[in-house]
Amino acid sequence: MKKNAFSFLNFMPYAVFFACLLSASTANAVIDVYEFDDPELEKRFIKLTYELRCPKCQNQNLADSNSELSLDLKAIVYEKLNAGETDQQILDFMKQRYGEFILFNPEVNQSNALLWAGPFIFLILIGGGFFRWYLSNRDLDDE
Amino acid sequence: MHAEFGNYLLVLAFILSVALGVFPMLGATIKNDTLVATAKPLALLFFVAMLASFLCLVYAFLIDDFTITYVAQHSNSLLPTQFKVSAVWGAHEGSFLLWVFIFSGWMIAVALLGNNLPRYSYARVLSVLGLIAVGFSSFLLFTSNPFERTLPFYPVDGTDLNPLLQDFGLIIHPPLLYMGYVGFAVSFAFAITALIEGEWNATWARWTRPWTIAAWSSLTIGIMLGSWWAYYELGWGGWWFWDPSENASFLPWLSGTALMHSLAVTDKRNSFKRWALALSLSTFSLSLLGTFLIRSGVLTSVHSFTNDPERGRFILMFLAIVVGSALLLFLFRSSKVKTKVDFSVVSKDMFLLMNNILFVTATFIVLFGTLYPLIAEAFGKKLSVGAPWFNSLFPGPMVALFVLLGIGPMLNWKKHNLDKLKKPLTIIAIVSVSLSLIVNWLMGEFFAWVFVGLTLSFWVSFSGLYYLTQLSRHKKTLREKLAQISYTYLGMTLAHIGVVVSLAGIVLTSFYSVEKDLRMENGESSEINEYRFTMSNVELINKDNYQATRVTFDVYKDNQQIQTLYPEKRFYLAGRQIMTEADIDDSIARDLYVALGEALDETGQVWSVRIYVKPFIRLIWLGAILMALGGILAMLDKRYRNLKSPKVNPVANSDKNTVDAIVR
Repeated sequence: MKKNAFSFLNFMPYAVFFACLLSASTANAVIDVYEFDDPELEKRFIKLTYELRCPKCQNQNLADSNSELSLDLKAIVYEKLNAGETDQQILDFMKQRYGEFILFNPEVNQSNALLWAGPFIFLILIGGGFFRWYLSNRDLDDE
Repeated sequence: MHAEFGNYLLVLAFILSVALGVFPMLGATIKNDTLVATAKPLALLFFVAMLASFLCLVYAFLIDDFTITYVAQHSNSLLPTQFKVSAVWGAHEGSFLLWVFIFSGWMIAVALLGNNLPRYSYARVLSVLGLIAVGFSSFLLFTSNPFERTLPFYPVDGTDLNPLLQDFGLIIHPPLLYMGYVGFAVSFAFAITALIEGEWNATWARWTRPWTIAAWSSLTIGIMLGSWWAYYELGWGGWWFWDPSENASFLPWLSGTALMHSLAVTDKRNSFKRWALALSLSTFSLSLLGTFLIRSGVLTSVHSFTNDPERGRFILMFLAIVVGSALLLFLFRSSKVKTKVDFSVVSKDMFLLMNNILFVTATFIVLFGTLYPLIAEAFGKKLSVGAPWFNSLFPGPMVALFVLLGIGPMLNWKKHNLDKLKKPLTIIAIVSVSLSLIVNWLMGEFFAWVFVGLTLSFWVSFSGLYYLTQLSRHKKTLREKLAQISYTYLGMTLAHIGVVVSLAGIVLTSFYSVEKDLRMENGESSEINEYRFTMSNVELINKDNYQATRVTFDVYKDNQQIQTLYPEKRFYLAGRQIMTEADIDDSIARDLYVALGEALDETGQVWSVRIYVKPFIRLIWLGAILMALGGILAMLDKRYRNLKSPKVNPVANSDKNTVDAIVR
């Protein structure tokens, strides 16, 4: 591996290439690197960016998406965290702005009752069905 | 020429499938031996036609025939040769051609290996597969023909294969995944035949089992490859996202797992019959549902094949016909199938029953979560159901399953006295809890889920190994011991250990991974855990079909350089797309993962960089490999090969079908 291959002689293709990279990704280089003094804050940041959906992408969260919109949203999350807002406040803000669609973790509330209760109802029905079948058809030889 | 020939072969395959779907079935019904005898040659011809058609498309890609629309859209003259081949299944039309080709492979396997079946059943099974082939090949021919021409104005060069797909993972992931998906068509065809004949018993289960296990093993590897590919290729370091495309493959996997277990009961105890039938039908239906969800584009997923409502309607109609007729047949015919319940609460039967309840519940959770946004949208509400929802519900049935899994395999059929097991099980439980605590302590931080996950992993592994030693306790040498244990038990234990190896990987990597987004300048270092990453070089490289900036990271541990990583930011020339190529130093204990974000200055000396340290992530995929190996072992058990001989088949001796088979 040749070290420092980067020199003035081969600088030109570089510059062109980077101009390409920059223009293709974002208009003005957005720095999506966030430094945290408090590791607790960093954990919350990671958690929030994993639970928020990039509203414009196919099916990606903010953490994995590099679209301009999610970079903006990440910046908002960062600012709000540093301003001392709670996770819930940030989620509420996002919900108000982009609708429930943005929350990957659907809220536990009355309108989502079926979503959260569905699996339990299913388990009770199928489990109950089986045990009724078992008890009513049981035919043990030695009892 | 080749395009027309390939197209002609598709038409031929379609006609052959119609013949296969009609004649043998008719022959078996009116007892016409000539018609029954057409089953095998028709199946062979269908396979040959599909193979030749598939090769035509491969050839078109190899010679860069851009007069074919599909080739022009998904290949490019600069594409390396191996990717020209895999580009065949890089998008909807070609991948569906591969799908039907693989399906024809299963069909010919049944035609060649299924000669232990009674003659009429053999004809019916192939005929049902023929009917499914009618659906598949007409879908290909009428909505997704890969041989359409761009003539007369064809492009000079192709658009290029999506750079994400120019990768080894794409070469092997779809073929194996499709092998799993369509493989369940075989158990479906067996079940339908059994329903038509009104007979479903242990013999049927024994015929179905190896096919089901084969499909399940392929699907396991297919899913595993998809997860591994997403991990290293997409640049976000995740291995599972509960994306609809992942769920689509996970649904038949879960249901197929339940099916394998219930077939074991039908085989050994001639019980759970309606249940095994229902699972055979629903597993393949879920395969089709998955196809519909992915290929119609009704769900937003990272996997998007071009969204064409006509295709969606077609698959939905096909799905409705398949599920509808299967359901009707089931409702009208399965009541003839009687099951006696003669097992007590502590018995292998009961544990397998609970296994089935839990697996079906898990299937339901995934299905419900995947479809809920669609249901909600129909009622005018737009919401997302993402990873957090699945992660909070899915582990429930899994924990219960793993607890039972430590006990179930050791129990006797019908009835078991737990007294003798109490002592070893208590010891295994204590050892598991202690080992789990030790690992937790070694990893630094305590997490309840890690504790639970690891305890269960140890619990299942040790109890499985203990059971194997018990099975072979009367033999002295290891060789004799291994010879004593049947492939079924060996395979089963291996697969069970595989699933908990994955479980251990999942909990360890989920809770102890470290993720850092950093701004780094050439020459700068940063420390993560015990590793120091130094950015030591930035260079521009030129390849055939892309240019890339390659950044060098030297990785140090205790001031010793242990590895050099070269993540790249690639610019693909044909499609003018930018891709991140992560570089990973992998080992069982941990992965070091570096991916480039954006260049933060004009000279490219400063980058945003994402670095992960992911402990034990390899265990997730290693476990899946063990599961598939276990499946292959179980499939090779001689009890399935000697089906023709009456001696090894005492249960079914009285059975008319088997007598039929023996006579033949």
